[in-house]
Amino acid sequence: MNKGFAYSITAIVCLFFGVFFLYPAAMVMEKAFHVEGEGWTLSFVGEVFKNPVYVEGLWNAFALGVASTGASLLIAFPLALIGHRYLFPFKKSLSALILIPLVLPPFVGAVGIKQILGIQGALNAFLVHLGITDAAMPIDWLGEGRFWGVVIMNALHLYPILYMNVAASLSNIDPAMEQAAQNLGCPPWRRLLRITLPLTTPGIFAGGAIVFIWSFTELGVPLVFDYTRVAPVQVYDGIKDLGNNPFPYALVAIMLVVSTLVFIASKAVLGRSKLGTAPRPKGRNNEVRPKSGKAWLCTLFFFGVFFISSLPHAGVVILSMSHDWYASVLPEAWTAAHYKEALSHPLVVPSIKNSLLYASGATLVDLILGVAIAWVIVRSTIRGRAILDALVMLPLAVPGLVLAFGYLALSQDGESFHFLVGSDGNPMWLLIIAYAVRRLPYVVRAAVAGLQQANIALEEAARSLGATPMRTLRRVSLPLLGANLIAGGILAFAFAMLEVSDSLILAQQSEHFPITKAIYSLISMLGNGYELASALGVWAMVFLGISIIGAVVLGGKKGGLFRM
Amino acid sequence: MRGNWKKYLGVFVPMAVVIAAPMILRDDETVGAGAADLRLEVITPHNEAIRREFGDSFSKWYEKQTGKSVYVNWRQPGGTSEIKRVLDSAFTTAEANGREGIGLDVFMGGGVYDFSLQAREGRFQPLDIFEKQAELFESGVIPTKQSGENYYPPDKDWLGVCLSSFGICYNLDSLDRLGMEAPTGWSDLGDPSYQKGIALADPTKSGSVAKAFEMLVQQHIHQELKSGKSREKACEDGWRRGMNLIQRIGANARYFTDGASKVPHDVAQGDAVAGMCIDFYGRTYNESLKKADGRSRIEFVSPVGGTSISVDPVAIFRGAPNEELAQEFVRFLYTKEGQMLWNARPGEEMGPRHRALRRLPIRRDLYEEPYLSQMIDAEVMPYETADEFMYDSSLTGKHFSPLRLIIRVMCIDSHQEMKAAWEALIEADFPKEASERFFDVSPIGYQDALEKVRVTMKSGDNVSVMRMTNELGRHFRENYRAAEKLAKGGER
Repeated sequence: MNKGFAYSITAIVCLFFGVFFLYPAAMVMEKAFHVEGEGWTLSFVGEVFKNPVYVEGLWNAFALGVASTGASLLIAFPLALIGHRYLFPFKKSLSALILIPLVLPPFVGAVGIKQILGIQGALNAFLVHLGITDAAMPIDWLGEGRFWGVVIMNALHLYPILYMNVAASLSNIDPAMEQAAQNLGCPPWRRLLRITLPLTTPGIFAGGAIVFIWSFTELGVPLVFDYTRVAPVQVYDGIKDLGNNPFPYALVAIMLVVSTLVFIASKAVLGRSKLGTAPRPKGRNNEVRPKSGKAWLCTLFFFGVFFISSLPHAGVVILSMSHDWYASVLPEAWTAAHYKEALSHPLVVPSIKNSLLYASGATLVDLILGVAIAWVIVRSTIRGRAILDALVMLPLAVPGLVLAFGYLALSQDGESFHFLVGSDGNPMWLLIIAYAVRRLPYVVRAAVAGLQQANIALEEAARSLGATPMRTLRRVSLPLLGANLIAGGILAFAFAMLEVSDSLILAQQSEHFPITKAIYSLISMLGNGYELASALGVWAMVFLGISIIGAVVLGGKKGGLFRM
Repeated sequence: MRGNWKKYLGVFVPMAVVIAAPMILRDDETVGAGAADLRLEVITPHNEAIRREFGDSFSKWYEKQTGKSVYVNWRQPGGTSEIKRVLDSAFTTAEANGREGIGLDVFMGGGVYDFSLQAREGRFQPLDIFEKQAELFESGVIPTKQSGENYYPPDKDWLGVCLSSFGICYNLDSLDRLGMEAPTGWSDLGDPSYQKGIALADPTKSGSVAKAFEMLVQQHIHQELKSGKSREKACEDGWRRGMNLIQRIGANARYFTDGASKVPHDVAQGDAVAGMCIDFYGRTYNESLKKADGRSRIEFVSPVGGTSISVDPVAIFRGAPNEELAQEFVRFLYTKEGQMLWNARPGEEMGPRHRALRRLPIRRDLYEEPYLSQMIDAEVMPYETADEFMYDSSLTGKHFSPLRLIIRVMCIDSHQEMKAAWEALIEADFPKEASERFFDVSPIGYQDALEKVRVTMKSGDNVSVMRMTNELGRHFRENYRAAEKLAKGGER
């Protein structure tokens, strides 16, 4: 890549990032390092380390990050590998269904889990029904679960991120490599460890980095378990404290540093592609159909993962149709009234329109910026591209509320971002940019992994045959990146649709609400608020489900991601 | 490509159906933002039902009075702590840019604490209603104060719209299962039988919740005063007993939450046995879960003599862009029509259109016929029971902020250690030395709370506050660990 071009892209991206991420984050984080009238200080950070409760919180968060990433990999890697190697009954449908955790809406997702795992929830009712437990002594799954409960929930929620990235990596491996090993007598396990695994490390790193940072900073799942001795909950607590406390910001700063260090360290170990630059032959399919028993085992495994990871969704769906679901496996009475009431509510139609607009806009921005950034990181030779890489990941590590408050302060009348707010207070552009900044890491990671595995020789061949850079991009590079971009784009779109913090803080007027805020408003309705919110949540799940499956079905040919 | 159109159809048709469903079902009766002649900007933490009912009703009322249509534009950044940040941010910017107002007309909803904070910064302007409808105040229809709580301040820049108090909701099935009696007061929640069963609201995130805890402590001081002790001794002893009760309740707590609806929801679902929640949430859950035989598995009780009745206020911002309209909005809130919206039955003449709001109007004259029989919660009669508890701000008013920090270090930050110790104490049947260790609140006595904690907090030096928090936290965590060890050590 032309160095000048690389520098220009880097400059544009840095400008975008500087203005729309670093500036608002720094504005809020300033509280952690600045004392009114006295200047800069590290004493707040120092005091955090002297507080055993905060230190324990940081360790627990780190441990959760590591454990959740490991657990997610334990689910995602076998799924991706089996999907890559074998043909089995219902493979097409199951390959789409196991992405279901991606569509779990916020707020009601937690409610759904509690309907299943609560003290008077469906699981306990089921165990009582089977005679395994006594109704007078129900098991407090969520109360006792805690650390490992959070790890399992995180893994079941986040494994699709790893799965999609690993699957994309696997689909880019030249089957000839594995076949050559096979021909030379290499047994399957050894082949896995010596050939397949090393070739998929870019995908593992791409997904793993996101999963680690996400679970390190995850707030919602620990709250479901009331597990409060963990840094993200302490940050949230501190920010919402009425007392203007600077220490949560100091904690955020520390978490940012940890996230960055972990990212850089794991990139050094895993992020480089070993040998993945061999051309991937078009249409060559490595899938085998194993013996019937083995094939059904694969189906069972996929189905098992789908079943367990969809329990929260089942909780939401059943709740939305229930009339008082309490202490029973299924509700005693069903009703469609919540759907009628929720979907006809004046908040809903505008919120759907708004979410589609904000999320699509953000995904488009991310795809354009993401490919450009990935290009610089992988194809250029400019210095500092590693820093760019780490910079792009930072939004994942900054808690939602922090950035949201930064945007809020800067979008006031007279402040620098006010031009992004429409005359009637419409925060559309502000939200598109806020969502785009936050979702950029998904697209960048996916695009980087794709570029690392794509053969540069193909691009060079195109250039030497006279193709302009744009033509090369359009006819050679983007198709090669297809699977990865679809993976990244889907993740970006889905998570943008379900975004919480910016949506709650920045969309203050009901005509501008995205779906997540509409769900939040419905929950507060007295009486059947939770059921109404669940109904809207189900709508969101169905819509996202169709979008994701649609993207996979329609985009599938371009990258062989799911071989549909 | 032949096969492709089927795929496109297979994706886009379901998608179109899903997107169309809400559009077909939607209720188009609300006046939209674009269609109205006038617009009122109101910032509020009130829930969707309240916003919708008051938005619709005020629009109708105003149109009937003036022929002009108005759209109430509700700004909802979230709860009271988010609103505080939004207002602080907006006013700081406005002041820096030489503007008086922030583009908002009305602040509606929250607690007296939240409004006092804003009033202290001079962010409100006087309400016309005090002069134009002076008879409402002179006759006592809207009282100045009740049970020691101000319903409006001396300088009259905010005014209570409806009444609110905290109480206890509980699940009858769970109580049956545990063989327990229904709680009637705060002290009952400290019973070890509630272990891991209490859903608590977080006083560090809500002024109203902090107030409820302050009431709980003050109730103990009142009891000590009644027993004839000197004021000084009564305060020390009552405060200490209040702290110990908070410890017991905290040790029984599953969590401390800032989500108002989480407590009654978890109690209703059996995830908690009992919890502390706002009156109207408790009553609504009780009503909505009533079976054909009239029994509801969730009940709500206002703790006897343990709570004052406070108000949920309204105020107009200085520099409001639609000042006259804002004053009319406030006037509407105090009409009988506007007041009865809070508690009349949906569909009735003075009732809300869609949902019951289950809150109590502030106008005293509505607690008589012909209005009383239209109220859903007619039996509550808040003005009759209000004087059972008289809040005395001279006793604990200055302890309000220190109490929040104390609860944080004593219960919230140390919750893990506290629960472990509590479990050990219960199993060992509360051995003496272990119990003394657990209940040692010596660093946060009545005077210490004022002299040490409050002074440090007011100094504005965050590092000192953090160090004090660390020190107090360490005291409690060490005590809880020691209590656990002593209890497990088999000391009798």
